[in-house]
Amino acid sequence: MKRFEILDPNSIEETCELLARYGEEAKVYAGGTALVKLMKKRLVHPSFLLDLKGIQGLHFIREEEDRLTIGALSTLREIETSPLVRQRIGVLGEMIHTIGSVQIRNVGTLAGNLCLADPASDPAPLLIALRANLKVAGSGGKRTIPPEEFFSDFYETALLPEEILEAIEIPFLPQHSGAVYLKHTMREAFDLGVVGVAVRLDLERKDGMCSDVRIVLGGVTSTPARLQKVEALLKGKWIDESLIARVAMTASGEVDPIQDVRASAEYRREMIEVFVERGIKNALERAKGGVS
Amino acid sequence: MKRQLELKVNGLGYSLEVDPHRTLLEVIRDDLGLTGTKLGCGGGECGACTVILDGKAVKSCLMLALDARGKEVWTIEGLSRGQALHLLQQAFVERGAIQCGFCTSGMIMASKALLDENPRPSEQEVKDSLAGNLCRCTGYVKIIEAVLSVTNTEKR
Repeated sequence: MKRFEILDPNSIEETCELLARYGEEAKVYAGGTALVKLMKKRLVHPSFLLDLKGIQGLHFIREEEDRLTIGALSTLREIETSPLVRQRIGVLGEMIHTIGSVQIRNVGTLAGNLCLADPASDPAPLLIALRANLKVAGSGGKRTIPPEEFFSDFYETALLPEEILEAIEIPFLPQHSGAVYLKHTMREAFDLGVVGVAVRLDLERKDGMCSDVRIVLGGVTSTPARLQKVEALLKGKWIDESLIARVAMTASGEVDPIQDVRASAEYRREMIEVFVERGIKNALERAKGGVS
Repeated sequence: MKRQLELKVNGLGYSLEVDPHRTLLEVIRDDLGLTGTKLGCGGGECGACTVILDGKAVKSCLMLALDARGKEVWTIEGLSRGQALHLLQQAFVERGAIQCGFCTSGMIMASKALLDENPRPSEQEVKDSLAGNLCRCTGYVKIIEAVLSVTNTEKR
């Protein structure tokens, strides 16, 4: 690793000032699991690391009216095992359980995962499907970015150079709504997904028509891909197995999958159809059963 | 620039001066001479470097040593009492859960973190907790059996 200094800002304001001062030379970090790995490979080589762990008020998981808010310092494992998360947005814990290993989840944070913007991020597609909001703080004040607009390219986000991700807000699912995250990996555990599919499906009433749906893919393109054509085919319809099978067949036409060490583009196309079908089915079952 | 690092390892307090770019694994092995913790892949994938930090299993190869400031670390060396092996170590020996031994300290520390938190894990919970630890010799079955055998004993 290239040598660097660690700075310990005490506040978000101080962090933003340091970022403004050092620009590309500085990187913020919390757990560091991803950043240290990239630094060891010399893919990034900052001169300054800004350790966020000394900032008060960034380490929390709390309920606010109709949503959960998660601070930037909350580790993946804390969120995965939080009774509040399990009770309110169970699918979030299920998704996090598929990330890395316990040792990584004990240290790495949800905010860090998002800011890395790995195309195979598991949280990214699910947070888009769940209509989350990302709370960002910078020298120019605070703003909210929907995750759909947050990921701009491979490992690139919409964060300005002196901004940091402060918290993640996730609305509770309404009644008759179901959400699911499915991940297709080559190994059973501890692997990045070849395809990740997040589905949130809302029914008008139990056994009613689909009033709204979001289907988002991870791991197949540079940024998470929302399948808006498939969504449009489901919206306003009474969904049954044959409709699901029909629309799933169109799913891979909406994206141009990447090819990498884990899978070919052709294989990804096939798996997109399989997992979109499965994802819609599971989300529908949950929407009918009322389990998130 | 070197910085002060105060931490506890296996119950003993240390006061060290370390460069910010050094990992916890490097400091444990090179500065403290505790070489039971292994460097495998160096990228957080194999789990050979697993230690317990404030009660949680972590990969010490991906953790900056300065992130352990003020914390309590346990490594494989802290488990036995003189010649008396820890129950997990004993179970690994008895069940043949060791061949070359390179993954063993990581396996045992990951298992210990699990059992400290959840003394009666299911087989699935053991598998989940060891998913980040690779063994290229035994094939896992004996390792999982060894961990489960400890959960069935009253004292640990």
